[in-house]
Amino acid sequence: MSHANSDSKDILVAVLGNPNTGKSTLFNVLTGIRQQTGNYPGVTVENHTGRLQIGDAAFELVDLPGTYSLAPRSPDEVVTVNVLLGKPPADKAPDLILCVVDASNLQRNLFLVSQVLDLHRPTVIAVNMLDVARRNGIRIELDQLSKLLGVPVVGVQANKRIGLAELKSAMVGAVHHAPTVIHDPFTNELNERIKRLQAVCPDDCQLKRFAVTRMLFDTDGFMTTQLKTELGAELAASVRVEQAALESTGETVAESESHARYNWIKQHLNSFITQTRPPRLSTITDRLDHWLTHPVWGLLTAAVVLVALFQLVFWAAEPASLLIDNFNAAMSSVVDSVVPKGALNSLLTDGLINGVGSVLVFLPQILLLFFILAVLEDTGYLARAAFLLDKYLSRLGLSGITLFPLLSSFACAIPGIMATRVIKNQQERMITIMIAPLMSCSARLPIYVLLIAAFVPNQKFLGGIVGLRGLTMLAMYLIGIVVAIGMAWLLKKTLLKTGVSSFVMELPSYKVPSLRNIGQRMFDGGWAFVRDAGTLIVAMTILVWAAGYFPRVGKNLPAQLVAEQQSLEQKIENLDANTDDNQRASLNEQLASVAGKLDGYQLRQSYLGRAGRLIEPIVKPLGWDWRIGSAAIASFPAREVVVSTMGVIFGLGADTDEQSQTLREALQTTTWEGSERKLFTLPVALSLMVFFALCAQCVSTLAVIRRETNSWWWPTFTFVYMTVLAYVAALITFQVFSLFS
Amino acid sequence: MLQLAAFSQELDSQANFKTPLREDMQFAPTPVPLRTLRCGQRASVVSLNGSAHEVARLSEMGLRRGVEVTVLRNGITCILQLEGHRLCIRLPKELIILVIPV
Repeated sequence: MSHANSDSKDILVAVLGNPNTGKSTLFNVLTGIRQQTGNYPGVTVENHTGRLQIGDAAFELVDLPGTYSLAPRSPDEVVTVNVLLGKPPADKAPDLILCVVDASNLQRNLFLVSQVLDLHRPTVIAVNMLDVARRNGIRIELDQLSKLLGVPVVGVQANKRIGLAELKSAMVGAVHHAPTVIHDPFTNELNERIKRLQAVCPDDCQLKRFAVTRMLFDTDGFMTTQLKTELGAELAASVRVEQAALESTGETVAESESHARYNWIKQHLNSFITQTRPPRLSTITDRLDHWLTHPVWGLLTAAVVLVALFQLVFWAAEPASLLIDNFNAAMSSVVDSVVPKGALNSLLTDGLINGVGSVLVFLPQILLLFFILAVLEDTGYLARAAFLLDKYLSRLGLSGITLFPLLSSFACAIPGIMATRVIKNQQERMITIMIAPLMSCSARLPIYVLLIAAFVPNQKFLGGIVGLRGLTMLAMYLIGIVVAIGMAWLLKKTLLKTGVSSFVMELPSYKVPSLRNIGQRMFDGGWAFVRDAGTLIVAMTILVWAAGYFPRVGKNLPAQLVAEQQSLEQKIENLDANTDDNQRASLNEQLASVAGKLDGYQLRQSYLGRAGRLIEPIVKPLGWDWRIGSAAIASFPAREVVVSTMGVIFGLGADTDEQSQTLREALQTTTWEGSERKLFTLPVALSLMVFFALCAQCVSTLAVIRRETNSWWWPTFTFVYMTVLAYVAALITFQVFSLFS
Repeated sequence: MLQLAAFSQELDSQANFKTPLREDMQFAPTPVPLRTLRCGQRASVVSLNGSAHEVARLSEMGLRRGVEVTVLRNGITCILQLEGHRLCIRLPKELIILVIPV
């Protein structure tokens, strides 16, 4: 029976709504797993799409970023408007607009709806969270609202999947039908102005009324610049005349639109909303806010939440990391059994498996961090923490909203920097991007864990609750935070001068988070990390491997070591079945040790080793020798390779990790070349950790900064300032701690 | 004497001129900046004064002339309860919201 032309293109639906309306939840339940996340070409706005089949009709849904208004005030919002208009970066205008509104806050949500209706395009309104409204004693006459707006209005409860069938059939029915009513919220005077502008507007302009309305109320010049080339300078001049005339009547351009629309909404409110009983005096949100936004108890709770967050990430992520480590070891042994020893074997095990492994090891931590952050954000708590910290952050030229990207940066600076898009103030956004890489990301964890376990005494205080090792770890996180505070202050005073700007953020009602949304966020975050960072880290690991592997020394290896290796191999081969296990193990250990020494000799002669020896004079004041120096150099593309590089360098083969007892022991016993003096001491370990805490050792982060700031200057600046700071701080750490020990 | 009479007349005229104004002031309460309100106080917004950009953004989010707000937390960064939702707002010196407490 199907006569629908399945060849024709899918019906494009733009999903739009205020933040915190459950828009993403609705998008997720409608599209299920048939989703895709990408970027619009050329812009940094995420393009989240999903597919939906209703009967014969195939829909493609685009989830637009949550917005309060269609007046574009940031590059993000310009893209939203352009997508609605079908201009680049979008290929075509949406066939249908699905506007999601919050039933419990209909008045404000209808402001955006009112702007959308100016487009006079096929539209469906989904009134979400009807249950919350009902609890607040609000009854909404959906039919009346539909009649008033001239478009289908459907009540839904996205989190419980209620009303989806009705919504779907409304979507199918609305596709080719423009609203039955011409939306007119403006006073006669404003209408006259809009009509006069429409008369000047070129005839080939689609959506004339929408375009001129947006230009008339444009306070930031975004829209005028955008449309000037398209609609002509004459219209732009007329817009200025009308705006001046509007201001002369005592009304401001900035307020006239919201006045008109809100007045219209208020005027009609009684026709579709009834308050069945007085709203409750004290809601759960009121009671929670009483404590959670309290100047003392609130801050205390925020501190507890943050500490618990980090604790949880460390504890819970360890078993998962161990599992992946074992997986890597198993993979390596499979390769060993198939591929004979040589360059290919080394590339596969030391380079590829290790490279992929060093990415995957952090995946559990990153997923967990994304999970916790998503829970904190979805419940509405993070907004409260942002409120409490805003007072302090404002002194650094930042605001409460920067808490979101900075917290994400503890997982990984890449999603952190991408999350700065929510910051409306440009200077503030730049400061946040500059300091985000100073937050100790999960890639710094392995080196902290390795060095602390090896060199920091296991002392406990206060009856075993507080340990010196834990405190050292905390100090590494704090040093990043303290330097970030200093840097933000400095940037605010110099390169990115800002006064105290305004800051507005909605505090949503507390709610139980949707598992589906959180799963989606975890998946998106984890996948972005694996895709963006993963490909680059793998490439870099291979490069580092090559630099450490070539040129081969070949026949020039020290004869004594080679002979020793051969004799040991001979001995092991000659062992018969009833040899003592201990003896066998001991021989194997000896062989590993000799092989390690040979690897070390090879490394010394490799490109990487040569580079390390070249910079030895520079790193000596930090307490490092050429081997630590080359490990640090190798980590500049991606700091997570440092542990495996140190494994190679200190003669153990690269399949060691921070848990490995042997690498730890090797570091403890390594001496300066040609001397009995121990290489690693507490001051050296601390200086190395401080260096890693502050240094810009991540090409992916710099690439993301380049993309987000659209300039080479900012990533260069970040790299230089962080590296210089790291060097100076490591120098001070080593010199100061050497005085005491 | 004449001078004195003239002076007293002038005083009277001034008083006459001022009196209605003062009465007027008593009927219409003086608007105060939002920042001066205490926690829990309710007020009606009279005007938003600041850059067009910020005023437009606030009024789109529902903080506009004629709206009643309750201050839930005061300070430079405050929490306001509006009709149906609450906002966290930081008010720099350049952005003054005048309100009349109710």
